Amino acid sequence: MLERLYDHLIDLLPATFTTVVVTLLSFALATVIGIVLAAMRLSRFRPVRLFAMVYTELFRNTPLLVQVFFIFYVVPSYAPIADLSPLTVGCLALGLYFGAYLGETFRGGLLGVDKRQWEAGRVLQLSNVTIFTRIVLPQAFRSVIPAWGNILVGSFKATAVLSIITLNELMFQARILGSLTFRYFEIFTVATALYFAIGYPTIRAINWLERRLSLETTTGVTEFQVDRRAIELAGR
Amino acid sequence: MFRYGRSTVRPFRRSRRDKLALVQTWLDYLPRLWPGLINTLLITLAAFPMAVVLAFVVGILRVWKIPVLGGFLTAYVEFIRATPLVMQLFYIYFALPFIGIEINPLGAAIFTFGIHYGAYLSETVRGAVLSIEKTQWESATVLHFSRFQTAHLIIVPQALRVALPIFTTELIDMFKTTSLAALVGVPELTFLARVEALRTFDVLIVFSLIAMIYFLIAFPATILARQIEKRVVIP
Repeated sequence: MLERLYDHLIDLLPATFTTVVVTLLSFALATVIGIVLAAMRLSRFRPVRLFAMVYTELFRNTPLLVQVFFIFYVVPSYAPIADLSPLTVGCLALGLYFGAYLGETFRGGLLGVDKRQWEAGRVLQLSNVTIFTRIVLPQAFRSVIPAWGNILVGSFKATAVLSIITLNELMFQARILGSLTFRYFEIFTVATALYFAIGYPTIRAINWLERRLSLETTTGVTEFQVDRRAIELAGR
Repeated sequence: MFRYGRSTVRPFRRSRRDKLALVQTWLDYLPRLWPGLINTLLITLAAFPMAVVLAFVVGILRVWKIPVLGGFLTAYVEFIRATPLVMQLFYIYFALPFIGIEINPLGAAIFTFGIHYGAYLSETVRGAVLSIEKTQWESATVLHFSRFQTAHLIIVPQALRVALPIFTTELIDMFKTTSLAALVGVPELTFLARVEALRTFDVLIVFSLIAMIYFLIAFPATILARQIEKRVVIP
């Protein structure tokens, strides 16, 4: 019995690796999109602000699965790119979806940075871009790290959705193995244990980080923390 | 693999009649998708009350710190939070029949969403109960209320008010997430949309249509929830 569980574990490990890779890739994409969206929301130009707002509401108010289907089925049949691999679709879908949530998080973080930081930067004759990237963003980043980590866990868990577009990640592999051997119970137990073995330590690490950072937080964090609950809910 | 070259035919401009025809196509899909929306709402409305009841039971029992039971409940909450919902759904639908528990897809979905959101909401309830002043428990004890009476007559009504904003957020979130029930074959909105899309290959129309349906329910609900939050929140 134990030997068989060990065999299942070995069979599932490569797929677990794929899950982790997809998580990290999509999370990197989501972070970039999030920063861009947050910057756009603070823009002086109305159309730019409006675009970011529409994007955020659109992606936050439709299910992830629908977005995955949209990118998987609709984009290749209308865009000049003929075949998107499941891996590309998966990373893209998760990146776009969590980007919208991270945009809100980062916006809260940016608003939390004292306005005088901008003014001081201008006095020192720094360009707006320099002030944003070198002064405001690093400070904002610090206050959003806990929420950022929660989104990381969210995107890790959301990769399981991608099994429906035949991306060979942990959930998909478990289902394939299950249908081949008909040992669903054992295989799914091992797969669940694998998810737990990655997800739980990550959650603990984030909680630890949150406690460490909360001792030294400064301005604007309270306002942002109200918002954080909503972000925690992202991505199941 | 087939690749699209640069098209030699310029797309023609749509006349008014063509536009109307397009609208007609959109409308033709609606009757086929309605049953899906009903199922989506059914899952949401069945699983959410279950989650709320579970959340209050688990949340309050965890505040009481009962020796063995408390450990089990903590393990339950942590486990649910660390594993994907899809995994839990598949476990209940595919794996449990092998130890003799068989559920149909709809039941499995409702049950999974119930216990999943129950775990998340129990954290909210716990936070809300802990935020209520200790003197409330103490004065109730002085008045000879039992622990159970104190909980359901004094603490829960106050905690409900604290937790309500998060409850509404979670309800809307659950409404969106029920689309995952499609993965075990529950004929809800996303499932039917996929069936229609693969039958007619009108992928753009069908998926846009259901995205719109989800959005038109979730977005106003979010705004409404924000309004309620403003009224209910304790300053």
